Amino acid sequence: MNAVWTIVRVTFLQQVRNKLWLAVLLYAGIMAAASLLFGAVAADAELTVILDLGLAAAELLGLLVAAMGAVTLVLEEMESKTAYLILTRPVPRASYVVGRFLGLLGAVLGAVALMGLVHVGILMLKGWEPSASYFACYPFMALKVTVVASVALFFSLFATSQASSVSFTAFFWLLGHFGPELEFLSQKSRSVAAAAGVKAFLFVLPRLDLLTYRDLLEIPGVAAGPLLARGAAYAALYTGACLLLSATLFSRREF
Amino acid sequence: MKVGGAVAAGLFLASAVVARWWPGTSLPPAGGPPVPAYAVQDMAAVLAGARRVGADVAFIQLLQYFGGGDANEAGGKDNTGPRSTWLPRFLPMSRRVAALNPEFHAAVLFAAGSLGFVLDRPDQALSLLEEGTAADPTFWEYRLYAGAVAYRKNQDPDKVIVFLWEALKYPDCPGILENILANLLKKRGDFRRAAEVYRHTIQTSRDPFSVDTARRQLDRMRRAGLAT
Repeated sequence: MNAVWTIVRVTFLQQVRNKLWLAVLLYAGIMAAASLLFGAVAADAELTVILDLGLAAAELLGLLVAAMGAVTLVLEEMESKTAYLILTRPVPRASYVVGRFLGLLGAVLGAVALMGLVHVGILMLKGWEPSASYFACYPFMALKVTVVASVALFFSLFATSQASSVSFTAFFWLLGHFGPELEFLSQKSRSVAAAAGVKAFLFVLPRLDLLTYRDLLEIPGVAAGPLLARGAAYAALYTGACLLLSATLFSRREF
Repeated sequence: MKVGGAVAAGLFLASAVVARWWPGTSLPPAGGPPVPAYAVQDMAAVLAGARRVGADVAFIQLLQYFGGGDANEAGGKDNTGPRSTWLPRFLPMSRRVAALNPEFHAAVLFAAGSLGFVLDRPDQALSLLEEGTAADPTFWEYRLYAGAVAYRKNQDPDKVIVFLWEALKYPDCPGILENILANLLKKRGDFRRAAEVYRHTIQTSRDPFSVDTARRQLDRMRRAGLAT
């Protein structure tokens, strides 16, 4: 346990030193520009636009940083051979993978929280009244970042290059928002084989649409609590599966 | 390897079961694109998990269209025909916003107000408000606006004033409708209440154009000795 905690701490610091804060700075720049622009062009909907854009930008930047970080998380350590220093000690390879993953996740979620603070500040300056449903978006965002980072980590160990890992992750991220549409297409398909293929694909595809609570904001009767509980269960199971596959792949690697 | 793979498959299966148990809150497929020219843009918003942002962008495009039309289509800014022939794509573009985000009340109210009071197409305004009510029956202000549009259609400005005056009390009331209400009041000779509406717009509206219009109109009324 101590070994895992040490790996988590070192990875967290490594990510912070890798100029993760630049993502927060970029976010602040985007939001400052957006608040000026939309104040002029969005008429009565200025606050709505800044709120939606801020949430989407925080999530997108968080996902980008998490995916890029996860893709290089173990690969870079293997290429630079720094992984050897740890793996020659009595540290199980699964612990190494989990520790690296948790460290990255901690750093990315910290950055997303900072982006949230910047967003709340800009909204308050515009006269926004805080609402519980807004703050409920952030735990869902964290779950989504966790799932995407685990997918990226798996592909980094499965694929042959960083470019292909990033491509596979981006593909899964896009299709992950397309769950209801894919189900709809499988129901409409006349080909039994195609319908079965889509259903099988849906089985391994992350259902990111279910974790996009910010698109359900203000819908009457949609309570965040029960959705969050289900979302947490879903993300834990899916991330667990990806981490297990990643650890299995990593344990079979020959150095 | 085999044990790890089997356990991972079990976890994937369990996650799929949890996803199946999800309450029916995920948004349904938006159906066919209301404006085919923007189909790719709208699909990109859905694929990126950013329906609300997509709706916001669609709303800004609607505002731009309302401001100047499309130079390549009949019914644009320079159209000299009746208002009902102006901006022929206004309704489908409004439906596009509502399809992406059914909870974007301000956009639906703005679009219905523009159709009903500026573009002289009350039937289209009523159909848009009906669709909005079907998407969110709890947002009862839609019915209020539908009443105002219906009276406008029947050429009963006094009743329109009653409904819009009521609508003014709610923060969702678009600035454009507040200006329409003030104009109606001026036409009926009720300058005191017209000035009151302009002051309300200046104090509460977030739309710089509506605030600017209200300020100019109030100044004009003051110069004419019709307001204090």
